[in-house]
Amino acid sequence: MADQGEIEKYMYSALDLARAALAKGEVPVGCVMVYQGQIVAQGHNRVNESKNATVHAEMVAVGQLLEWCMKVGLDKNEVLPIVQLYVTCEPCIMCAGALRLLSIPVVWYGCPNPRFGGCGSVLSVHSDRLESYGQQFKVHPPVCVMIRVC
Amino acid sequence: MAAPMSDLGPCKKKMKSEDDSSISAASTSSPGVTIPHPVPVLSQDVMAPVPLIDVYVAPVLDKKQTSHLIKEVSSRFPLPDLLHLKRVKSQKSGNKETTIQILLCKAPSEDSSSPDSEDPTENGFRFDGLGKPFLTKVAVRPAITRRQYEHCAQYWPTAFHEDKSLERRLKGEFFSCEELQSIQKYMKRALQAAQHAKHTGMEPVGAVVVDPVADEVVGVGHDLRHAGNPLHHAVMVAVDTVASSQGGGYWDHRGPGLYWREEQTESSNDDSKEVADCSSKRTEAGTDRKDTKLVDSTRTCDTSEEGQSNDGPYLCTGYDLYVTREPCIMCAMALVHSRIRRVFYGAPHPNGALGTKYSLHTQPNINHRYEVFKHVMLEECSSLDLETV
Repeated sequence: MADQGEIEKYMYSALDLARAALAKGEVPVGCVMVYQGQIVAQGHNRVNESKNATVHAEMVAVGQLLEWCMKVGLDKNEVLPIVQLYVTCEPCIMCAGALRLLSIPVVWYGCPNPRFGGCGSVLSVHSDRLESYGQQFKVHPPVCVMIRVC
Repeated sequence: MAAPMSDLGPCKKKMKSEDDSSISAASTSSPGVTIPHPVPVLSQDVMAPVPLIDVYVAPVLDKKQTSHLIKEVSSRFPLPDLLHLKRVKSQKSGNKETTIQILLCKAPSEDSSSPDSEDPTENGFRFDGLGKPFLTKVAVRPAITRRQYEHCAQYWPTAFHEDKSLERRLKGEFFSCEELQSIQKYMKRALQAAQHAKHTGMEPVGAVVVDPVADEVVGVGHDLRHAGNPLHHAVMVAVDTVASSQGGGYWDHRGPGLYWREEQTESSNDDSKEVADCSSKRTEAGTDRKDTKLVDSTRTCDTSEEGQSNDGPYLCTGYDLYVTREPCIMCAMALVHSRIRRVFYGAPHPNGALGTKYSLHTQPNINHRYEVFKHVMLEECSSLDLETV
């Protein structure tokens, strides 16, 4: 499990992506996906650019992770269950469902999302008992140092 | 094409048990055509009986004192949470004798102490003209539907303001015959897309986004979850094809049966044109996307050379979605984000997030809501999962 210094390092990377999103006129959310201590995929919200309201940071990063698996010749079904996701804002209900479907085990997030958070704020998709709907995943409470920044 | 309701098989039983039986019986007939009415998927607040609570009431001994007693009791026991209830209940007993009861206060409940609850049988309660208080049950909140009202009124008289539009939906009289035919037409397109998916080894799910004002298809998608990205469910794909129709689009979806802005051809078998349109755009998009690297990748979204304008509403505002299978929680929330107007689905699914679990579209705190109707071409949609390729 990542120590506090690592968590902050990855969360700052996610924050940089969130700032990049803001600079492009997107909702400022960024995330990174870490596999064996390496950031192997990252993304920020691209809803306005794509005119597709589902292109959240997590969705972009998932697309990259799948491409990366293909590129390096790894089986996504072996990579996904040991990936950690660091995202500046609590995954929404849609993304929480997506992360379950992918069996991503651990999510660290910066601030809660009271409008449509799917990891405890509005619904608890990450922990609900849903048979044959991926894996429940663990969410770490907001990283305190980040709340001020996010 | 449309099955009579009696042929719906196992789902009919389920429908009956969870909904009002009057709904399942509803269908709209016109000469030669019987199209079962889509079943509205409403919140439990609408469908379930209004919960009951215990209150204290007391008989009025002298009927002439009733209006005076109402004033006295109302000032002694104001009931701000129970304003839907009438203060008195008059009841005819066996031999034409009318008895009047008056509502006093909520009974103290064991788990929570409400500020306006007390036990009037304690503390020397006494009102001249009232008999001994006793417990009875009343509706805890106003009835939303007539059916709920009739249930509540069996316990205690209550005010009711009928929502006529809601009642028509509940009775299955919401759609005209033309609308029912249109709903069926678009679900057939979704079924076609589902067949495409099935024949290419995907889950047999199809989805169509429709502009109901222009009466045209804006985007068609089908399941692609086994083609690389497990999140590419039919709804997610359809939403992206709509984005493509507006000059956006993010994913590199390819395949027959996936396109946007349906060619206005009469024949629905004219797939060759669709495939050609689709692949020309998508090949180009695919080239763009080949070299994408982490977050710096940008995809040009310029489709102007294809004569597509960048018009259209914000996302799916005002559009309807037809999908053969009940959307999962990811897809249901994607439709909230996309500002869809109405969702019509065929077959319920154990992981469905509208009629089966969550009832996402009725969640109170979410920033957009849409209407949901189920069991559109239920038999055809259900059998997608059964047939072998």
